[in-house]
Amino acid sequence: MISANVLSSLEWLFEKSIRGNSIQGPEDTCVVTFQSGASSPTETARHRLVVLNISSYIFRIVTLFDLDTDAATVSHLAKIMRRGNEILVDKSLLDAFGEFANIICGEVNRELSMKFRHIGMSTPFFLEYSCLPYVSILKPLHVCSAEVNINDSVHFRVVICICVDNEANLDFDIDRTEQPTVSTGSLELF
Amino acid sequence: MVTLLLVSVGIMIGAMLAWLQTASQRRAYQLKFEEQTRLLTELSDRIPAAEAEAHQAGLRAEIEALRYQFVQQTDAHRKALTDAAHKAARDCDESLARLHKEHTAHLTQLHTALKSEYKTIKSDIELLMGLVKTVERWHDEMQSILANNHELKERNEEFARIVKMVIMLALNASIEAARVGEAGRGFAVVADGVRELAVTSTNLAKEYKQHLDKNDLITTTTFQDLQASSNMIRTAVFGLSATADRFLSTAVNLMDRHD
Repeated sequence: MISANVLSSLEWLFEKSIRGNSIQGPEDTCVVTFQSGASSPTETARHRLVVLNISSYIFRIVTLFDLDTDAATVSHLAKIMRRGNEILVDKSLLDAFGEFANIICGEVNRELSMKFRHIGMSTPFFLEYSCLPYVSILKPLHVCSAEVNINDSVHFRVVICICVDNEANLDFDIDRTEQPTVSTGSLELF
Repeated sequence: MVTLLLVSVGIMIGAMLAWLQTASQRRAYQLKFEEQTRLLTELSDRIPAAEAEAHQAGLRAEIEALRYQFVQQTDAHRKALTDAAHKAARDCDESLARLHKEHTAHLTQLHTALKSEYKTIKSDIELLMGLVKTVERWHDEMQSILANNHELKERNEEFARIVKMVIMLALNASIEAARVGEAGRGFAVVADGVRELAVTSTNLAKEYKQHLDKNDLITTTTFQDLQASSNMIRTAVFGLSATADRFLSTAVNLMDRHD
């Protein structure tokens, strides 16, 4: 069972991390909207799916980043990842996608490690976009999606699946008095 | 410690008894002296001066003898007490030296055991760190599964393409059979049958792809769970290692301070 505090805490943590790591400065706008479920995938060959896992003893959080490879997203990503004028294509683009997902989940993982002494995070992996509709096979107790809109030009989605061990109760609360801040975060090292 | 305590108590009791005995004797002599002085005063009016003087001299001698005896006894008691104190101090020193030796031996034994246990813990921790290698093995195995899945998907797509062509061929065959008329009726039935089979195959290929997608998702996330859990375990093991270091360091410092 997952308490309402857990759900709101995790949504807050992800939103804080997304806001802090998806924009370059105060001139950028970032709107994050949460909705229940994984929502229907956009059928397009342009999209890439990056998956990352945060695990503790009784729960795990599977996070899927649905990222577009359109010019606006790639250009914004190069900007926030400080890749200068580098043109992100093929492997460099996938690396940037992986690093981006890693930074966002890394921050969530660090915040959660304040509550859970033992917690770990995986490295990012790429999946075919067609895998997205089947997240229910992971038997998550809760699935939600964060729809992210940056400067009305860049859109991506973060699907969060919370899986809890059978008969375990997951209940914790994060101090949410701190306002989301703009920061670049840091790369999780493995 | 108990021995020391008993010796100390014994000395104290001995000293008290000696002091009580001396005080009692002094009191007795004091009473006797006062009685003699009283008698002497009473008699001094009735006894001639020479006789009284002689009697007084006798008494003085007796007092002097008693004083001498008293000094002798005091000296003897003092010496006995000094000897007892010295003996007790010697006993204490010996007991302390023996206890120190025993404690030192015990601490050395403890230190050796602790170092040995520490080595075992550190060795176990090093072995646990080998978990990284295990995760790398899992990673390789997962990559094999994913590569195999990818190959199956490619074959499945090829199969779906062939089936699509079969559907087109069956459709063409049906058209040709219709053009022939009555003579082509039997062929048209076969063409329809082939088309139905091809449509069923297309659906199967779609389902097969869905299963492969599910396989990819579950394989990848399961591996990631293992990877994340192993990171979690590594962090925990690092924590244990640091605690073991701190524990040994504290224990050694305490032992050194005791030495």
